[in-house]
Amino acid sequence: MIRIDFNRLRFLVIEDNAHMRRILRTLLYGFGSRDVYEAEDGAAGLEAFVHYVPDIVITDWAMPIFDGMELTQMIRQPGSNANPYVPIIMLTGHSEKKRVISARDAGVTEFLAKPISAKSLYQRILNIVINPRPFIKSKGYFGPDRRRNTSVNYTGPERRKTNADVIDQQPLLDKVKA
Amino acid sequence: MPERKREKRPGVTKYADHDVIVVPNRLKKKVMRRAKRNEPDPLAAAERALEELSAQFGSWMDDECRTLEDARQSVHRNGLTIVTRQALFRAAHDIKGHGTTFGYPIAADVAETLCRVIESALDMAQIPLTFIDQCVDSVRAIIREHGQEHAEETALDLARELGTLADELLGIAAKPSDSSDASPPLAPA
Repeated sequence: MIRIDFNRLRFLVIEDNAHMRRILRTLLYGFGSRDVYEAEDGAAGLEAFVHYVPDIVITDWAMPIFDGMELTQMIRQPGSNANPYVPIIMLTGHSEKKRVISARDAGVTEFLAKPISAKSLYQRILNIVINPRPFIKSKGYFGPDRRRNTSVNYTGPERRKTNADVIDQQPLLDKVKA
Repeated sequence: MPERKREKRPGVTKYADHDVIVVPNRLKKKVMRRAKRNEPDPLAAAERALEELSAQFGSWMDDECRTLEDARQSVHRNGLTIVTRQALFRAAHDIKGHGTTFGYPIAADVAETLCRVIESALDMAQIPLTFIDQCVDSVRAIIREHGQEHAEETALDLARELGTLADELLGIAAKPSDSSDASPPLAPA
């Protein structure tokens, strides 16, 4: 059986409700994590993100100052911070389809509707670790590939242009090493 | 500030209108491993920890209830302004989100009804204060009587009636249907 060493993961929890922060901390500690930082609004969350460089961010949607969506948009700025690729789990009481789509389009990695359970949080984290998606950078979007699956029944037009030059860029560091 | 090792840079494949960036899977390498023999299940451990914490959920719901009551009082004093509406919505939304986790799913349902009306009504003036009072009083009563004989049946009746009342109110004052509610495209750009 596969296990995750939670004690090697650093989490940042951004949630304005102290009770929910306590629940999340209890669950993460229960999983085995010991490196859990907390912030109670979007602004403090962004500061903590830059300072602590977490492996995974868990953020509430509705928060004072700026909310979880705005925070996600600020993190998903290629080149502007330490890790624009950081996995973000959006935690929210809003589970309507349009909300889920908005979160996806802002660059959220996983969506977790309240009420949360140990199992639902564990599964999101497991998915982030085992099945990371590539990132897409286009004119209007930067974030995890929103196409989780390829639908064989899809008959609409292909909206991504694939007929242009394909340049496979080697990571610069590898080039230097070679 | 914690130090991090310098890491491999992401591989980028460029297309005409987008880049595909494959970020090195640092997490998998760092934290995935085979379970040891007789190793405790982390999920069960977390569930146990939550169970231990649950002794405090009753007093937490009382806190949430007080916040909701304060928001209601503010609405009575100042009317439904942007500020009081937001505070009321936030308090109800917290109960909607946390109620079930804390063991009060019917209180969460009533709070959800109040959220739905606050969020969907075109004009807040059309939302009677009596409806807000009914929702807030119901949430408080459900939490107060939690665990008492027949309390659940009464709570379910209350939640149903308030849900029906909310539908009637929104039938008069509902926003036009939001086209963004439509199904997402199968293949986003």
